[in-house]
Amino acid sequence: MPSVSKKIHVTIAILTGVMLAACAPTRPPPDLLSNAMRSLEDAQLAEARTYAPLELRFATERYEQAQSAMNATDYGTAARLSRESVANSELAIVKSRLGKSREAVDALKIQNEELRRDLDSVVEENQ
Amino acid sequence: MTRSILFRGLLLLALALMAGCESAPPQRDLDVQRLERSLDQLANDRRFGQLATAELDRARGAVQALRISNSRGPDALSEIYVAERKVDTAWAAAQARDMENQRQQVNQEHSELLVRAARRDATNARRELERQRLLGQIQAEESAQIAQDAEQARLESERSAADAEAARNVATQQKKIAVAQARAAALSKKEAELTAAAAKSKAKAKAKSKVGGK
Repeated sequence: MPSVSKKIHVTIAILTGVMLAACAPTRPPPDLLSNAMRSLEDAQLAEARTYAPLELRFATERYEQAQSAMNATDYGTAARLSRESVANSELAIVKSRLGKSREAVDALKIQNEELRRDLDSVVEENQ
Repeated sequence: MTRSILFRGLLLLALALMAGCESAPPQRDLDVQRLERSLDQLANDRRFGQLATAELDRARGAVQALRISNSRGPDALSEIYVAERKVDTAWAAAQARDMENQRQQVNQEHSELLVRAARRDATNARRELERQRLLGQIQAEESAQIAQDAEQARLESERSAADAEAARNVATQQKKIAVAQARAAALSKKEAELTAAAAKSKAKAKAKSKVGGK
């Protein structure tokens, strides 16, 4: 009987150990924050401040929160926020590309319209 | 008794562990379905469908990972959040490529219009050059005509001056002739008077001699 009780206690202790190990904070990959920082820099270089301000703000906020979590050794939260920051930065970069292209297209359309009007007016004058 | 309590405890612990491994909650399924619908819509879109295949695949991977994920709590919410961003990124990437295509097209139009404008400018410049050339030619002809007219006028003026001089000479000559004629007439008259006087005195002398001879 004592030996059975001992076995049960050992089993419980092992299980508790496994559960505690599962709940322990896992250190994020070393490049996780630097990835987020690089993506954020890329987004800023892509002029996301102008073309995707909301996404850039989300990315910046999450990066800063990830840094705070990292400092507080809350690595799980840091990893999660870093991934969210990267996702927002990538979206900001693509939206900036879209915004710039749209702006260029709009400007070219206006120029083309003016050129066409100019050419047409000359044709009418000549007629 | 103690043994029974311990077995129950273990059973409850096992049940709690199993509960932790249960299938994804319904909310996540709804999110997965929503994101998959969005991706299917993008993939089947005539305009954008083929423009961002890489981003579409990445988004699909994220949604697929979400479908099989066992995460709970903040991790689950974060996975949904990231998958949503990737779906948004796929849409934005497709729109960006479409806009790039439009940009190339509009740019092509712009180049063509610039070529047309340059041709028009060159034609206008040629026309202006021709106009200026004709204008110069007309002005040169007018100048030549004016010079010719001036020369003509000068010649006319010289001729008139010469004619006037000649007329003046003729008048002077005629005046001289008239004076000479008047003088000649006066002299003739005087000669006639003298001749008459001589004849008269001769007759008087003759008469006297006749009277003396008797």
